[in-house]
Order: sequence, then structure tokens, then C-alpha cells
Amino acid sequence: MKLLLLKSFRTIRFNKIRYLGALVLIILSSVLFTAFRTSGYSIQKSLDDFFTANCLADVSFEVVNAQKTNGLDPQDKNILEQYFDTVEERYYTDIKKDGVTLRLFSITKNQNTYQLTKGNDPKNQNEVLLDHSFAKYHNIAINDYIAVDGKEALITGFFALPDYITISSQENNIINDSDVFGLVLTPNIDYWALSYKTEYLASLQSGLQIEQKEDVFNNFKKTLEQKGYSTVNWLERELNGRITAADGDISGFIEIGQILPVFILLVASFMLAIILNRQLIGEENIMGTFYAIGYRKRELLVHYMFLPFLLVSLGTIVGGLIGFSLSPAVALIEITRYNLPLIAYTYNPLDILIIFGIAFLAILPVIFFVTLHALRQPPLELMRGRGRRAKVSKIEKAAKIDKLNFRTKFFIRDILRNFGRHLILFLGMVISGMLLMIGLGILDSINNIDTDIKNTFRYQHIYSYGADIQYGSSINGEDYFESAALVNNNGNYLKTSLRFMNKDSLGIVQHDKKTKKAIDYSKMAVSYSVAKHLNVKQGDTITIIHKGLPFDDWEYKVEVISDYVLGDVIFLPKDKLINEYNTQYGSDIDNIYNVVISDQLLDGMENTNYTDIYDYLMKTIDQITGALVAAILIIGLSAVLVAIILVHIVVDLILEENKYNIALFKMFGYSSRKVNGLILNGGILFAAAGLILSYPLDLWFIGYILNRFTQGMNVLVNPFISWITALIAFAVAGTVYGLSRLLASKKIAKVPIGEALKNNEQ
Amino acid sequence: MNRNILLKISDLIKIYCSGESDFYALRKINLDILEGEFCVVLGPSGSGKSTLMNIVSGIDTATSGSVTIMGTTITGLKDNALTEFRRENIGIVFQFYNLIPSLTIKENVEVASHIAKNPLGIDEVLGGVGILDQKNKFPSKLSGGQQQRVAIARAIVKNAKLLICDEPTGALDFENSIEVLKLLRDINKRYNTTVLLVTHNSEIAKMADRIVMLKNGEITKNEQNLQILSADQLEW
Repeated sequence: MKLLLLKSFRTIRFNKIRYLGALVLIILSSVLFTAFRTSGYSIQKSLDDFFTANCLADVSFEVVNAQKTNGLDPQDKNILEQYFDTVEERYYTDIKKDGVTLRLFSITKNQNTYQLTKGNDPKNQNEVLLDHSFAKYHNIAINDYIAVDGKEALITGFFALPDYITISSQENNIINDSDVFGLVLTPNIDYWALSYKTEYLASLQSGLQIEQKEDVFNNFKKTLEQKGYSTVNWLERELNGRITAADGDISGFIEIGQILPVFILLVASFMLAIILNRQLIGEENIMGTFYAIGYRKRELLVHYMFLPFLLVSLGTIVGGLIGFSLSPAVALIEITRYNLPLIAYTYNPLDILIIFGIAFLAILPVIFFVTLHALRQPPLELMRGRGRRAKVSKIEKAAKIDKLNFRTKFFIRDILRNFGRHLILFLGMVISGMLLMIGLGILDSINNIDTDIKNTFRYQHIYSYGADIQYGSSINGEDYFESAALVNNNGNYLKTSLRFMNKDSLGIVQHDKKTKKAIDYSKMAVSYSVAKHLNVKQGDTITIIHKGLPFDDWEYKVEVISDYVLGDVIFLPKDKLINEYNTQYGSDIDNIYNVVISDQLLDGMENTNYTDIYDYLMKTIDQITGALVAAILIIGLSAVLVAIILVHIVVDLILEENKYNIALFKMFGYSSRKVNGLILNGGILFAAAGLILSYPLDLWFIGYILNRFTQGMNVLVNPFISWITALIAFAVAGTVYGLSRLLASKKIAKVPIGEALKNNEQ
Repeated sequence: MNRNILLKISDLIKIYCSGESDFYALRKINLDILEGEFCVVLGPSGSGKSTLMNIVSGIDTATSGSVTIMGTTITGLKDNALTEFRRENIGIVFQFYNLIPSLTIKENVEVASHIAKNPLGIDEVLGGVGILDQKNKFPSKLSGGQQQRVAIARAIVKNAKLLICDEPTGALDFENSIEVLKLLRDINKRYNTTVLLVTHNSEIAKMADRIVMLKNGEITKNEQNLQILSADQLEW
């Protein structure tokens, strides 16, 4: 077998462009796959470990009573032990200066404990830890001093808190606020603040189902109410946007880091399979010779499988190792956006098996069956070059091209008799076009959210009264009522926002995702994001567990799935709320709202929280997709490289397979230019058709990718490829094709007549 | 000396189906070749001689009839068994050499020696065909005559009982042809190898022990050569 191995290596040496190109494709996809998966899963696992090791509490809350005391009275603290397995008090206060808020926390020992990510623990009372994200944003280093309420605080290190993965002042705000908000941890909060709030960090015994947890929480709240307390800032672990947003983002990061590299790998494998297949057909005379000499089928199968096996193994192992070493760099895309704990990069050997398995399954069966099929022929048939024999198809016979001039006749014959080769060029251009457009196409789609948002939110000014519920008609603008809820569909739970809309509302415009018809608010509609996360279809019944309204659970049939772009939101008719409210409280209100929206700035809304929804949503989307854009750029650029290699390989293949024809034409006295035209022109139509088809296919594929990578997020991104992107992709593909043709034509000029004819004889 | 029959061909027919009409390449061929015999099969182009050689060497299939070599009827063997038989008992010299372009001369010969049970020494064989000094070159660097010698070396290195040569001098000039023929005769004598040589050159038949003539797929002549010449005495 030593000789056959030697032959395999020499085959690679003599066909460098093709084999090295294919190897680069496999390495590249393996690098991307491994780097994204390793970094994504390492972050995810480190976070999970962090939550466990640093005892992320099941719920945090504050309590108030009529006397506005800070926390429970000592005699009432036993209530906590009745309901919770572990409880710890944490003190905090917000110190504001120049628009920047520093949230000072006391150090806890049992719940939501901190992790020192860099530096040393604070020992003296003027020493503090700072969150890394804020420090980085404001360029603060360890041993620097920062001003905290007029005192100088020495930063001894950076830290991470399990319930503050996203540095955001609002738990429902998924934006990282490090520009204006930071966390400070101090061993002695009294040193920095005269007054501070007490929050309770509590955990239930492990293993409770969500319904059981709900029961405990409800009973606990009732007991508190009986004692004259009510809870404030109640925040369950599963509803903490600072955690869920990061979770969703990281999941998306992993998704995008898997889909595209796997696609590239499949493309690489597919093209490699084609190349090897063509190589095999070109080598049938050699295979036949081996067979005639007495080599067994098994030996020949092993020999012809060796080359792809070598490429796949080498590509995935080398790619895997490079990918692993690059994973910390790739992880920076995510790390810089969150205040994450220390990440332990662990290589999962499964990654290499997955990528090897994909490439293996995509390539080796093709080679196996092609070789086996060839070996079913007698050796003589193989030696005569069975696969290289041109056949006159029925189409050619029917076409009656004999009367055409030679050039046209040759052009048509070349296409009809070498359809397989042209099909490869066609597929190569389809895939190249797709790869070239994919990165920019995803960016186009993300940028297009802006348009979607403006189409959805016709009124951009939003005034929220929060818990201060308003009754009666709003003075100006449109109103709606918003409340938090947990939705259950067959055991899947999702935190959502209920939005009770007036039937004739114009401020928020939505459409049925399927029929594209505009929705009026007489029907219940769930945003596409809710439908996706809960796996809900039109007509399914879901359970709404109210978190902000004092109602029992609602069973509700999903009437419409809407194209609402941002948020897990369920839209309900406001009449339903008013009826329930009146029934619950025995009242007779005719309107209720806590949000007013308008297309103009409104006066007299000082008591509300104002949001310019366009600014807010764009900032949110920028942050959500910021990491993904970086990931997409890395993959998109790789895709461009892959596309270029692909086109070049295909053109090289065409040239190699036509060497004999080229030599013959040259021998007959054809000029190199004429030979170029005859040999390479047949492919132009196929290349152009391939590029055109790549557009709709890419639109579909981008839709699929966006759907997958926003799986963990509450954002809907519709696929969109701008004409500029398409033009750039087509221009690049066309240029690469043109350059490859140019290189090919230079090679044509160098094809030695005698050698090519001699090689063909052999 | 009584010699055993090494090759027995009985009622061998080969038909090529080409859609509308069938073409009879071989029509009921019957032929016995003795062990150690040097047999030349003569015939014009299209007479069926190459088809006959291909079937006898087990690289093509017969439509009907049988080919028995050393007691084994190879026309009844399945693919794998036929491959095993070829591997152990038959050496083939192809008309167009069929060398592996990505292997050197020595490696091309080694390809065959590697799978043989009792191979001859590679250097010995290469020396025998006069191209030992070229052994590290690739086939494309050799002349046609040299390449044919490599093909012969590859066929004989297996030390097979039957050596089948399809137009071994077809692409060679006179001098090279004589060298190759001398070589084949030498192998035939030295190793008692049965040689079945196909050619359209009637002059070559003069060095054979047996001359078989084919025309339109039928044997028109099958006789012992009573005036055997050496390769050196041939002229054309």
C-alpha cells in the first residue's frame, strides 16, 4: 500500500490548486466552527458554573410597609425561613453624579456572591471592586481612584455578579448601560452612604417545578400582605432581563457560529466530493490498469478513499486546533458586551467529531459509491476511459446543429456533451454567489429593522406611567395598558409583556405574519417572537399567568401571529381587561391605561417615563446584534474567501479536463485566443445562471439563519438583500470568474501539445 | 517432451451490441496453447485479436464459450475470484503501456511485484529490460520504447505463468521492437513463461513456436512454426 499512498501524495502535488483549495476550505470551516462553538459553549458553561458556584438566587425583592421601613422588622424575618431554603440580605444604594449612576452593593456570602475577575479583594474601607465593563468603558484601571459621593475609592480589582451579567440599571432593559451605569462592591457600605436599601436574595430548595415555585411565591406574598408588607422590585431569576438577554444573545452567537461554518463545510465537502469524483473519472484508466494487474476491489476502494479521508482528517484536525486557539479572541465579541465571570476555555472533543463526521459523511460515501460503481466494470472498460467518453444525447440529436457554423456548433456540443462539468460550474457559482452575499445580506436584514420599526411604530413618543395606573380617557395621543406575565404552552414558560390595545389603535401597526394582512386589535395576537419561543401555532391555547395584574390565569386561544419586530409581546383587546377589571373590583371604569403614545412630543407628561421608541429600539438592536454583526463579519469574510477558492477550483478543473482538447486545437493551428473562446465560453451561461439563482436561494437561507440566531432573542429580523449587496456580490463573483478565466487562459497558452497528448494516451 | 496445455479456449464468442446491430468480434474460437509456448496471434485490424487477448487475460468478458488457464475456467469466475487469478497467474503488456504517470519507473514495476506471491527482483527485471539506469524517472520522461520496456518489466516481475502482450511493438521503431522481442523470447526461455503475443506484423510470427491467424473473428490458421527464427533475424 506504500506505493498507493505515494501515488495519492503525488496526485495532490500534481493538482495543488484543487486539493489545497479544498483543504483550505475544510480548515477554514473547521476553524470557524470550532472557534465559535468553543467560545460560545465555554462562555455558556462558565456562566452556568458561575450561577451555581456563586449561588444565583431564585428571586430578589424588597419589602415595604406602611411605615416605609427598610426591610422586614426583626420579628417578621422568620417568614423568610418558612418559605425559602436560603435567604440573605444585600444592601445597595445608587450614587448619581454627572449623569452617571454607581450602584454600591454590600458583599454577600451565600447568595449572588461576587467573583473577583482581576486584582485583589478590598480590605480597607476605602477600597472597592468595580465592574469590568464600566471600568473598560471609562478607562479605569486597578489601583485607580474614583470619586464616590465625594470620597475617593481605591479600585483593588474587578468583579462579576451573577444577577448583573448585563450592566443595566433596569432589569427589563436589555441594553448595557456601562456608559452611565456601573457596579461597585464594598465591604463596608456604611462608609459610603448614610442610607441604603435592603433587598432579599432568596432561593428555594432545588428541583421545584415552575408551578411549585409560583405557589411558594404567591403564598409568601400573601403572608407578607397579612403582616402589612408588600413586595417591591420582585425579580425572579427567570425573568431577570440582565440574565435572559445575555443567554439569548450567547445562544444566537453559538447558532450563527454553527450554521454558517457548517454550511461552508458542506459546500467545501460537496465541492471536494465533486473534484474527487471528476478526478476519479479522469483516472479510470489508471484504476483499470491497477485492476487488470490484479489489485483487488477492496484495495482500490481503500486507495481511492484514502485521499478524501486524509483531506478531511487533516482539515478538521488542523482547523479544530487553530479554531480552539482562536476561541478566546472570538469570545471577546461577547465578553466585551457583558460583565462575565472568568471564562474557562474547554475544548470539546465532540466538536472535532461533529465536523469530521459532517465532512466524512458528505464526501466519503460519494467517493465510495463512485469507485465501487466504476469497479463493477471490467478492467478493460475502465482502461478505455469509460467515464470520459462523450455521448451524443437525444437533445443534441434533436437539436440538428449540423448546419450551424463550427464555433456555434462547438459551443452547443460542449455544453450538451459536458453537461456534468457545466453543472459543477453552475453549482459553484450558485454557492459562491450565496457565500458572497451572505455576510452583507445579514447586515442588510439587520439594518432593515429600522424600516420595520418605523413601519410598526407609527407613533414614536412613548410616555409610561409604570405602576401609576390611569383611568378614563387620555388627554392626547393614544393609550394602552402594559403588564408583565408568564405564558405557558405545554410546559414551556416565557416571560412576556401583555399589551391591551384599543380596537382602533393606529400607533402600532402590525400584520399577520402569514397573510400579511393588517391586524386590528379586536383579536388576540402574539408576536412572532412569542410564537417562536413557545412553539405556538395559530389556534393553540396558551395559559397567561399574570405577574402585574391581580387576575387568575387566563386560557387564551392564539388568533393571530403577528410580524411585530421587537419583543415577546401579546396584544389583547383592551375591552377584555376592562371587563375583567370591573368584575374583579366591582368597579365601572370605561378605560384604563399606563402608556400613552403619540406622534408628537406631549406637554404635561412630567410624571411619566419618556422614551423615543426609535432611538431606544435602534440602540437595543445595535447592542443585540452588535456581537452578531462582528461574528457575521468574520464568517462573511471567510465566505468570500471560500467563494473565491471555489470559483478558482472549478475553472482549474475545467481546464484540466480539457487539456487534451486544448492540445489538439493547438496542434491543428488554432490560436490561444480562439482556443480560450472554444473551451471556456461554454461556461459563461452556466456561471451567469448560477449567480442569478444564488439571490433567491440566499434570501431563503438568510431568513433561515436569522430565524435560528434570533431563537434566543425577542427580535424579528426579516431577510433582506439590498441591490447594492447583490451588485457587489455579482461583481466580485464575476471578477473572480473573469480572473480565473484569465489565469486559465494563460495556462492554456502553456499547455505543451506533446505532453498533453501523451498523458491522454497513458 | 510432452507439454501440458496451459491455455484452452473453447467455442469463444464475443458480440458487441451497438443498438441496432450486433457485431461479432469473435466467432467460436477454439485454441490450445501449451505450457512454455511462444504463441503469436496475427491478424489485420478489426480481426478480433485484441478482443481475444483481453478475454484471455480476464480484463474483458466473453459472450459465450470458455477460457481455461491451468485448469481454471476463468470465464466462469466472479469478479473477485477473477482478480485473484489475474493477480497470481497472468502478466499483461498493454498496447499503450498503461503506466501510472505519478509513479517512477521503479515504482511502476513495484506496483506489480508488491502483489505477487513469488516476484522476481525489481532491479533484476529492470536490468533485464535494459532500463535500470532510468528507474527513478517518471514515465513521461522516457521514450515510447523505454516505456514499453517498463510495461514488459511490470508484466514479468510477477513471475506469472502466462504473459499476454498486446501489440508490444506497435508503437516502437524497428530497433526497439527487436530489443523488446528478444527480451520476451528470453523471458519465455528463462522462466518457461508461456507468451501469447498479439501483433499485426507477420514478420514477428517467424520467431513464434505457434502461429495463429485471425480474420473476421475466426481462426484461419493455427500451426506449429517449424522454422523458428531468433528476434535478431527478423526484418521489416
